[in-house]
Amino acid sequence: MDDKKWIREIHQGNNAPLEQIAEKYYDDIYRFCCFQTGNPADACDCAQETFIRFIRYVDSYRERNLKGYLLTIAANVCRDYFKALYRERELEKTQMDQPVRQEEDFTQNCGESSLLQALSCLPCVQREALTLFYFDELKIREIARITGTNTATVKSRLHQGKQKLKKILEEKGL
Amino acid sequence: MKKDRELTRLFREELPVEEQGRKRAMEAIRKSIRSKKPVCVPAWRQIFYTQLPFFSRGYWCFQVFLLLLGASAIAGAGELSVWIQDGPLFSRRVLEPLAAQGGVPCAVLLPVLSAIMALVSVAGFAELGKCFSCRMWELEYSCCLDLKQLLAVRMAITGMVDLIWIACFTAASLGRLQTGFVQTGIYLLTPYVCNSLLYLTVFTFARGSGRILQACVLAAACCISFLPACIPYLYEQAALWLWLVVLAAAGSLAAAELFCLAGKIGRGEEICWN
Repeated sequence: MDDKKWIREIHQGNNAPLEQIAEKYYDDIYRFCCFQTGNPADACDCAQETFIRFIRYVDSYRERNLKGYLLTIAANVCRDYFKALYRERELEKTQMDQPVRQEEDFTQNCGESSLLQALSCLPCVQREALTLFYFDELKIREIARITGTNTATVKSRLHQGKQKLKKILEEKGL
Repeated sequence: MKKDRELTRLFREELPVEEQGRKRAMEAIRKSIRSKKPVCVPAWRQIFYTQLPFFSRGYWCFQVFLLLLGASAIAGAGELSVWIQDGPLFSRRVLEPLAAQGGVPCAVLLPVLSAIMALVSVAGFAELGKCFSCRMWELEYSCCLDLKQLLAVRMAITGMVDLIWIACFTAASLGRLQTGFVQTGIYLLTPYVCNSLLYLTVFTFARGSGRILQACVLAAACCISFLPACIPYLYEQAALWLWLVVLAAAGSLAAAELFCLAGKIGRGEEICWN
């Protein structure tokens, strides 16, 4: 059954397809969250939160691209995750009088994966654009919609992110 | 933008999904699905077709009657002019400047048509009043229906019928009047919007206050509908700005009221279980 039929059934008051949607898209959303947070445990939480938000707002869902919609929610969840983490760390570091950056949180999370380690050196927005482009294989127009920017900005983020990522991966010998 | 194959491969190869975490997350998602209250959100077209049969026969008959009334007024504009000129409303002092601007039919036909349009609006809102009535929204809400969507569809149906009437009257009276399409449209639209505003106010702010109040407003609206017809000076070219001001003010107030109503419905403030 395709996404459209599922959404139509949900809008008719049948909640059963929600589980099928979660089963179908969980892996993609989990991986997106993993690339964003750099930590499988946090990615699990973010993916779960993404679907819970989707379940809450599915009644007002009117778009045609379900995966794009889920990725938009996931991107927002990941941003919220970083904000919460940043506030937490800032509170801790304020007591030690040291500033903290969002990228530091990612670096601390990413474990042994070489790609995650390389991604950790990139700014959050470039990481997001690269993940959507290379992993989710979305078009630039779709990425612009998900991230709330224009296509020129996405192109620039992708170009700069790709250059940096390649350089880092070369340095690591990958 | 070209895709780098090596990067694509790297992104696709990495990160196996952790099974334990997946099971845990799926369990939490299932729990959230179980606790979700099912809400029926039918498509606009579906609501449109289901709502049409709920419009009473009386509404459609009254609409047709008003359409025929308007058509006969347009067809018999000449006789109507002669009949009204002999009446108490029009003195020579009034008729002469009007005749210079658009002929006597202009002074006769426009008030009649604008009064009919105001009555069209009254008929529409009297029908809409059924869904505004006390306990109706509560019933629909308990059936898990989207109130905003329902209201929008019902208003769209009555509004569409009314707009068709306005377009018909305006187009049909063009040959008989020297006022242009836009000007005639303004004359017909203004009483319609004013009456709609009056009704919207009563049905939203005095919701559940009883049928007597609503009947009083209906009577007042009918009287107001004929008010411009009693003041022929209003149809002079010099008074057009007044129509525009009234139309803009009533239109803005109606839009603000609808916005306020949508917010109230969204927050559930209009629903009363007591």
